[in-house]
Amino acid sequence: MEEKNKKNPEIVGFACSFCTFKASEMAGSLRLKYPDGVKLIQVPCSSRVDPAFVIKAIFEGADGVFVAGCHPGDCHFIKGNYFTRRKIAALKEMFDAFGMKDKLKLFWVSAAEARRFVEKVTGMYDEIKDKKK
Amino acid sequence: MKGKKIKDSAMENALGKFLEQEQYLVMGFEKDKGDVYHRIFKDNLDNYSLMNPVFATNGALYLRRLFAKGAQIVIVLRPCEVRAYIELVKLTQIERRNIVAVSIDCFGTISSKDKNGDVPSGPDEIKSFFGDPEKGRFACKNCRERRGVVGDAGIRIDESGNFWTFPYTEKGETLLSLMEGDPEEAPQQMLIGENQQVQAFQVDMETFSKDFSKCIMCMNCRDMCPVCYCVDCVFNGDEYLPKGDALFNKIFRTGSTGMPRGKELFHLIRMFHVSQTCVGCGACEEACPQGIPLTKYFKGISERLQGMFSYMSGRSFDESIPYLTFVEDELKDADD
Repeated sequence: MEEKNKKNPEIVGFACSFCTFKASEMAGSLRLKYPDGVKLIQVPCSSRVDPAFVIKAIFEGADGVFVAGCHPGDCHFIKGNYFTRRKIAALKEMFDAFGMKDKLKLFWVSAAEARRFVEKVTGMYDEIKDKKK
Repeated sequence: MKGKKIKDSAMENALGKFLEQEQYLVMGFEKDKGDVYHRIFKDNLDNYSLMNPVFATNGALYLRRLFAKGAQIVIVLRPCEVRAYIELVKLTQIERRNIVAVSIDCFGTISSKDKNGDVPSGPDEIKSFFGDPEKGRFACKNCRERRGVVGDAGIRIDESGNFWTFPYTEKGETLLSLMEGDPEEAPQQMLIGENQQVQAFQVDMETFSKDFSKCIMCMNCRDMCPVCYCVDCVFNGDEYLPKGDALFNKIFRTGSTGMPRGKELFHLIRMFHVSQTCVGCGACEEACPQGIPLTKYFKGISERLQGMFSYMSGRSFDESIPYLTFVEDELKDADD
């Protein structure tokens, strides 16, 4: 159990239900594989993610957290992801001050970019796994 | 800039004229036997003190959710308190039309915990008292704005020790019209100048954990913070703290956990929630029974995060709080 935990990081992802979550479903139907340690949480919009959720996830044992939403300008609710961008950029700055910047990432993934989603998530997973060793 | 020179007790007289009207109140400091505290005056200005060299709480805290039925309050407070008031107006916690805010130049304050014996009262005494840079709280030594340039009017002190009042809004003009004398051109150079920029705050998690290991989760820092205003805080009750399965998961994944559980979580979340509105007054550190250096963290992080958006909490009523607005063409490299 301990050995397994050491090797395999767990990543919590907050995925916008209109784009990134759709992209992850599409990745499934295309039989694209992404690491098992990535746990997606569906949110109605990426701006629903209070930075408190991210901090809570990290302090309860997640090795990394990502927030993923639509590209700026493509939000279903017109301007939700602009607020996300400000909040998460500020949270990254705060994590930077504490020297744990690599634990948080922000992705823009549209509903059609299943391949991009898998690339981004796998890239982040591998990066964290390398650091853990 | 044009302002009025305050002679002897001209300020008290002007405030007294406000109090003659039925619906007016004055909030300021009362000096009584060597102790200076906040007080709201109605009938007369007995023991009124313009300056306060002791910091116990932030006065803006008492203005929250004070929906006056026609009452008007004149507040004469330190710059950090007026700045917190401005932030709370932006957050719709205070009705601006009921309040005339006046800020006074501040030489710095000592902690109410360190106070022993009499405190200095006059401007000259306070000035010489804080001439020693070692004196004063951490928050005051690293203050971003100690000039009375915020609010509706400001009281400044020039280099020869004269007091000046400057109006910044229409309400300030009304206050000035109640004072004796005519507006004169004030000297350019004031006793208290702008503060120098400090470098970006940087710390590591080990130091953070060590500093906060003393925390007993009494949440005094949250209760005494003027800008931490949520009625239903996420940390009311233990819904947001790791418990049950989540606590076991945390222990199994991270190896160990400190008790009371969730103290780092509480402080980091609060740090982010107040990051754009924190005025760096140090009321949290003042309220902490364990002596945790909270100001160092909260002030450092908030200055760094406000710098991202060229924002300064409490600088003006017109600047919008960064998290409540956006510009389409910004932060191009925010995503990874």
